[in-house]
Amino acid sequence: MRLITHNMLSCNIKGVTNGFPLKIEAEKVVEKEVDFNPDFLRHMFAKIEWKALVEAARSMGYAELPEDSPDATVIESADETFLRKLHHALLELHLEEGALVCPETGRKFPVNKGIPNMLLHEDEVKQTVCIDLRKGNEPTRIRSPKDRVLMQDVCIDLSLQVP
Amino acid sequence: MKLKQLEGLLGGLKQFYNPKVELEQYPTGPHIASRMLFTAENSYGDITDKVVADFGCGCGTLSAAASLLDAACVIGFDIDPQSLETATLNAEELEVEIDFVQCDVTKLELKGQIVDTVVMNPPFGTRKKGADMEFLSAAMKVASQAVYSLHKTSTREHIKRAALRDFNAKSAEVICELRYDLPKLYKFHKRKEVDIAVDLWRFEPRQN
Repeated sequence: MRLITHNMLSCNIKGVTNGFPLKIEAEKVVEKEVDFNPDFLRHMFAKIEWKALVEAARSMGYAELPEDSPDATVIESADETFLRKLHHALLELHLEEGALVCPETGRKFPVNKGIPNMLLHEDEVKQTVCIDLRKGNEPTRIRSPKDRVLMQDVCIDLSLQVP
Repeated sequence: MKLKQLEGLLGGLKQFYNPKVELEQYPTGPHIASRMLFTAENSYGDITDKVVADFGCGCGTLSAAASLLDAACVIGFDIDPQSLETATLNAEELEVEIDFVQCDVTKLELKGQIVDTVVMNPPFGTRKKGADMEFLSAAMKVASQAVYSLHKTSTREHIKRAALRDFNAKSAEVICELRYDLPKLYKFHKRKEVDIAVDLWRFEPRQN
């Protein structure tokens, strides 16, 4: 997993309000060179969460990025020194083994062979409540995908987020 | 890269070694995959130098195609670790860099506007009802530029309505109609292979 991917991942456990950015526990980091594309990097720079990238890069052993995000003149200039650092951090550092940690709950999402496992356990997923509008029936909580298919014909799924 | 060359390279990829029917795992054939991504780039400029996400990537056919068409960065998302294993091997074989994430895309929350284009061959909803709509909804939340997706032609009106009314689509166009040849993959398949009429859709999300 590269840091460009890390920059978009967040913890989606129910109830968590600030699951971004995920902290990195790096056990094995690999560096792989790829072609330098300055135009792409200039375009990308505006869309990246800078602090998250700096912190993540540091966790992976790369501390060359400035703490504060540079202003536009540095990005637009012909001097590519900064862009080369951005390139290296964003696209050439691979987290092969380790974990991504939710900043709010501490839940660890393991990373094996470069692939983070973001699958939630059943009790971590937001529940959908199905309201049965037939007179006299109580609202029913849908527990499993199978229930949802069975209930399809008798109720309206309003997809209310239930904490 | 020429279309024929792309199709040839995709034809050499490994496919599901243990397909799971409840996930509707079917390979995206090289014919469809090559045309889908080739059109996305040549007609709309949505692949080269862009960040491309492949939702329900399976063995990574669409991801591989995006990489071969010089996407700046490709990320494949899938729920099944065995498919991701195969996808990783395929990427190594082609010597392309693809990040893979194991997750349920319908429950994922991706921050920011980093992803330009989402490409996908989602489940059609034959096992888990509504799966196709869930995938489309998720894709429309993530893509900042375009979503390319395959859906059964029989659902065309339904998809168009849902995309424009509920999923924040500025536009929803069927680019072309394709025949998806499904080989006999599961025990309950009676015929040797079957042809399904599918639409290749391009959706544009409204800017936030």
